[in-house]
Amino acid sequence: MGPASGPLRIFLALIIAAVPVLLLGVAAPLLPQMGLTGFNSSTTALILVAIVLVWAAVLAIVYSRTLRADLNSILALARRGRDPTDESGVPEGYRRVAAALEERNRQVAVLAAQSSTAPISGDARPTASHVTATAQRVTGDPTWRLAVMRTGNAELLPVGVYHGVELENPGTISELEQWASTAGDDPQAPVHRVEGPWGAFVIVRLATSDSLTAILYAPWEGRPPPSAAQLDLLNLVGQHASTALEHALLYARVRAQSEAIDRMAEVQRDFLRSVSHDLQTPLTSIQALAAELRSTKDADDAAIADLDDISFQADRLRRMVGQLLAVSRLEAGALAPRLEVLSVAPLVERVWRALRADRKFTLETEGAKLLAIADPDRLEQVLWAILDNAVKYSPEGSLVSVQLRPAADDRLAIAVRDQGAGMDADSVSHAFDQFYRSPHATRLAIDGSGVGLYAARGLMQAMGGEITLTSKLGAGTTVTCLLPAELVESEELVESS
Amino acid sequence: MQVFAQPELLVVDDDHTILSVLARRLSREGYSVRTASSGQAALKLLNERWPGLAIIDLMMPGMDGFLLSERIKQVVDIPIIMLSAVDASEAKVSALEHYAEDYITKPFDPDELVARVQRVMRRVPLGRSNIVLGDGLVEIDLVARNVHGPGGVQHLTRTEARLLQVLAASMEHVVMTDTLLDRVWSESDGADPSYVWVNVRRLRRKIEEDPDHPRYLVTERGLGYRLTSGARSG
Repeated sequence: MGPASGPLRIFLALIIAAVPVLLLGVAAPLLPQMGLTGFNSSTTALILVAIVLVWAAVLAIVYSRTLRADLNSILALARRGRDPTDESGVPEGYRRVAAALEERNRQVAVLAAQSSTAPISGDARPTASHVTATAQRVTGDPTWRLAVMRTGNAELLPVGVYHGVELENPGTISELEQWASTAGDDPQAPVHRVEGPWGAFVIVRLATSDSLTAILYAPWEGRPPPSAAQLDLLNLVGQHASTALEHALLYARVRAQSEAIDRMAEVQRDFLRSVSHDLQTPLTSIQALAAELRSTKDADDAAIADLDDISFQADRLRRMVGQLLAVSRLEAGALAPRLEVLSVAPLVERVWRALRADRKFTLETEGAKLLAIADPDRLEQVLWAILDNAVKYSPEGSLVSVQLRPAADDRLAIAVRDQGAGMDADSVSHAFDQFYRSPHATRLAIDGSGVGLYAARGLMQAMGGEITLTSKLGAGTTVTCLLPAELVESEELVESS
Repeated sequence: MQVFAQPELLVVDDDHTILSVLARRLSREGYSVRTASSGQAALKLLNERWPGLAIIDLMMPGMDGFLLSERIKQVVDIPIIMLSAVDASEAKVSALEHYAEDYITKPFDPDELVARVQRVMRRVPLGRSNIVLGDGLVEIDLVARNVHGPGGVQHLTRTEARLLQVLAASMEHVVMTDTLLDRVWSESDGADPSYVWVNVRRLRRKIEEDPDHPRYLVTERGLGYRLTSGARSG
């Protein structure tokens, strides 16, 4: 049989099988005319059956080999569905395609794994070697080289030719690489074969940022032009190499920057700590001395007023130094609050008195009486920062109100509301940032360091609390603190015994 | 408040201004005050006679506050208030609590120091540092401020430890709520009976198996509280 395809073969078989039936159909009525009488209908039927059987036998013999082969293929394919490792009976063509696909998948998997495990360090050089080695491994061709022609930071990634060897120093760029990087008709094509004074090469141009120019290249003299599949693979290699190099450079840059920032922050922290520390002792002395003088009997009214001012300013300074110290402790992660049970209202009143502000002030307690669980000194710092802000950013004679009320999850809410300048949405979102002062606040020429709310938030969090701020430009600001609290119930009422 | 002949105080600080200011401020409160500007000088003064309380600066050149406190406590158990920098590390602070009845961080308000001195002077002597309740079911270490109890190991706040200390000094006897307020809190704390109630409730959660039906820290209606060992034999 000729190399007819399966369906055609089946069609032919049907035609051939139909031939005797047709012949009989034509021949049967002619038999009596041919003198062959004596055949009744049953004899005729018998003869017909015999002829069909004989014909079928002939066909079976002729087709048995090819039919068996087809049947086996079908069975093999069916079996393959159950057992993918059994390839018996699968036509050779299918097997070749499957093997090619598999090889391609393997290469892509290797490539992906290599790219993702590319060593990342402050130095992008190992990545360049790694990328080259990967190209060699994936293509099975050790002649691939990476030429880095231009780089944004030659310290992180030196210009040169990388051979794919670990810890290598790149070779110098020669005229070959210069030519290769610009050769080719289509500068946009990522992969192309070029011929020139140095022979034939295949060049993979890496798609990188403006500051980085690099190519992968391999000699191609005497080799057939890369197939479509090879081009695809090289393209893929090129993309991975670009990404890996860009990431390594970016990472190195970010790391260098963050190290510089860390160093600066450390210097700043040390400075903050030592300055605040040095301020503590004299401040304690000034305050104590002023109080001492004020209590002497022979001081006149003017002197007393001055001494009060000295005390007030010293207290203010002491609180500000305390705030700076709190920040430095928070940043060192060394702030462990001493939690106690305390009533917040007297603390609010005390802080308000210390501010000596020319504002109307109300303090109201809503709902059941709660005692907060907080560090009294730290909570005082928080309240001072919030109330000091409320005073600073509100006009004289306006109202500052504090409301204490129960909140969800056994907590106490302390809401401080002012009728001041308020803040826009952008300032609100930055209100708790360190050293942040809204443009509006700065314009109002009000003194402030931008530390208060930052410290307040850190302190509240350290005490297991929260602090939030809502504000509208021109409509005042409300700062709300949430603290763990205990409901006050008289033991007399609770106890049954 | 009752007026007693005020005991003598010793103030140790390397800063002379602080020394003189604190000496004057405390003298005004009726205390007799001696001062020393170094650990060595303080030890010399201590050899003459022991004060009722020592106020010691933590950060001093030569012998620091720790070392001095250690030396003092080796000889006699007088209360110590430590003046510490607010940026002292947590390790230092916890070590400090081993020696000091109280500490106050610089910069401080001298009135606050006076209030603390008064409270510490009112305190009952630290008769014992350990309390055992329920035949050993609950063990309280007042120095380390730990409770080994039904809920595992729990930390006590300073106030809770003081409260227990005052109650333990009158073990099996009622301590009036007012007495607790007076002994545990200083005037500047502005404490009222609700402070006692809430602290007792929180203490019970740490030492009692069933805080709603206390076995050790018992309420005496209309009077105050009683700490009882709750021993089955008793």
